[in-house]
Amino acid sequence: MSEDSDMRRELEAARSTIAAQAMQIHQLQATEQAGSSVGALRDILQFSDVVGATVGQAPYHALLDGIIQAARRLFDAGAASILLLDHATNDLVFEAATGGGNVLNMRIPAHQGIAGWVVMTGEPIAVSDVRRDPRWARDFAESTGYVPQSIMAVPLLLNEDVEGVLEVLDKKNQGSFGLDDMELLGLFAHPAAIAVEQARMVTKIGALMVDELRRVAEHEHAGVADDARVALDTGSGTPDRTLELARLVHRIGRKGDKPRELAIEILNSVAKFT
Amino acid sequence: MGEQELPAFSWPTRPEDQPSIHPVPWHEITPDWAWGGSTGAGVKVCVVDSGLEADHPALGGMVRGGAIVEKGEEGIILREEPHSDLFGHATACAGIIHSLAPEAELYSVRVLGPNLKGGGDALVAGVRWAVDQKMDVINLSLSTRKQEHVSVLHHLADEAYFQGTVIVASANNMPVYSYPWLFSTVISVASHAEPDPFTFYYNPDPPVEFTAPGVDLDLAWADHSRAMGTGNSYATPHISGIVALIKSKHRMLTPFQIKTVLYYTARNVRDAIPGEEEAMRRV
Repeated sequence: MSEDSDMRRELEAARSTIAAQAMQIHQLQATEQAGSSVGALRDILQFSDVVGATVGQAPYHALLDGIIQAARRLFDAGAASILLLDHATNDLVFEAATGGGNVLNMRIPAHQGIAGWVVMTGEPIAVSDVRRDPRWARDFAESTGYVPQSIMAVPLLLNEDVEGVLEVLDKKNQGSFGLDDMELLGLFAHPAAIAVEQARMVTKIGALMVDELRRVAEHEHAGVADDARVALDTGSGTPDRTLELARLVHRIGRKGDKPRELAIEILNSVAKFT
Repeated sequence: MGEQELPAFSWPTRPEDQPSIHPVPWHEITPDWAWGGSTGAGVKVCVVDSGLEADHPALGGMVRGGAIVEKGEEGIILREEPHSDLFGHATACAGIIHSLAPEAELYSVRVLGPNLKGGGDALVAGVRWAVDQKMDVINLSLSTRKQEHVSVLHHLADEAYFQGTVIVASANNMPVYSYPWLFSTVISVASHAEPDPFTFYYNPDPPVEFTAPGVDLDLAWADHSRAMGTGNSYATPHISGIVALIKSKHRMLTPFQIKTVLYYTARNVRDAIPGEEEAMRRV
């Protein structure tokens, strides 16, 4: 079979691994809701090792950067970027970018512009030489300061949902992107979507660990110092996630040797993801 | 079950009960027969998309009405009111239709917008409206991947088919399943790279049934502008425009007959039909 179908098979295998992991996270969440224990925390920890093994070798941002740099080079484009949909605010956020100025973490409304079209419809689009459209220049200039002559954008599809957009801007030496280009960029979108899904899995596990630690600290080990609890609950503004984790582990550590060992184990595990 | 309890369409039929039909010999179905001299007059074409910019010069003042779909507190709502184009995409599609069928009436349903996130429920509501309005042609350069909407879209496509509304739908440019272009009751369209707007091909390897111009097209775009674009989105309105011409000239044709006319007028089919001399030689 061709390399293309080999790649597709590998991508499909990655996708089913992710699906299995998602299922496991769901089960862990259910366990957590049903009533927590140090055992549940251990399950999470073990599972995080499994996920760490599948994603640890290709750090998320390095993977996305690699994808857009390869796409930019392949299409001989002036710039390339990946935008992800923030469901809470309905914004598109620049998650990775190369060329075209510093746009990382910049936000644009998801119902505007070419990237907005792609995320709303799930359809790829290639447009160039947009003349006399004030919105075209304004949308780009306001968000990125870079107004392209041509753009091609494809959706990042996760199951039935569109989670983001992969776009390449300004094909050098050619006025526009063609159908073959569109098909090719679609192939880049597939691994990008998988990378995004895996990164979200890691984030979910991190959140699960924090939640479980909180439960262990506050409910299963009675007598946690009130001042520590107050510090955690009120905090100063929104506490940094890592700081929150450190506080919790510290509080568990005060409960004795066994919980302290567990806390160190957890911190080591967390370190693998950073 | 007695015969009287059966619905009307299940009764046995006799040839003398049938309405008269006036078939056309297949070899007479040429582009000239199909749409020669037609302007699309009397035909209503609805573009379900990002909303039409009614005063764009490329639409020739032919926009006659439309509706917008929005997400309210209690779910999807549809309001019949004027609107603009959020992106330029719908106006690009309608510009192509108008360039082929200049006297066809254009209607617009805007199914994209803030908070809709391209949810299939807005698309369903838009197609529902267009079917209820008894449009002659519905141009869908969009699709949904949401499985929960497949069944209702399927019913709508069948309803359109039996009432004589032709749905022309873009094949997705990504190698994914999406709907309604995969339904057999619609006409599905992908792209070829030739410039002639009346050149289209029959695809003998479905689910995509026809290909039409979709590469580097000069398009109407938002705010009275123009742009160059590529994609099945723009191939689809070419077939919608040609269907509008055919329906305008042959009012009685059903969607399946129109698909047959498209088959016989497709470039590759016409090229493969033997000429009179060749036919005689074969005999």
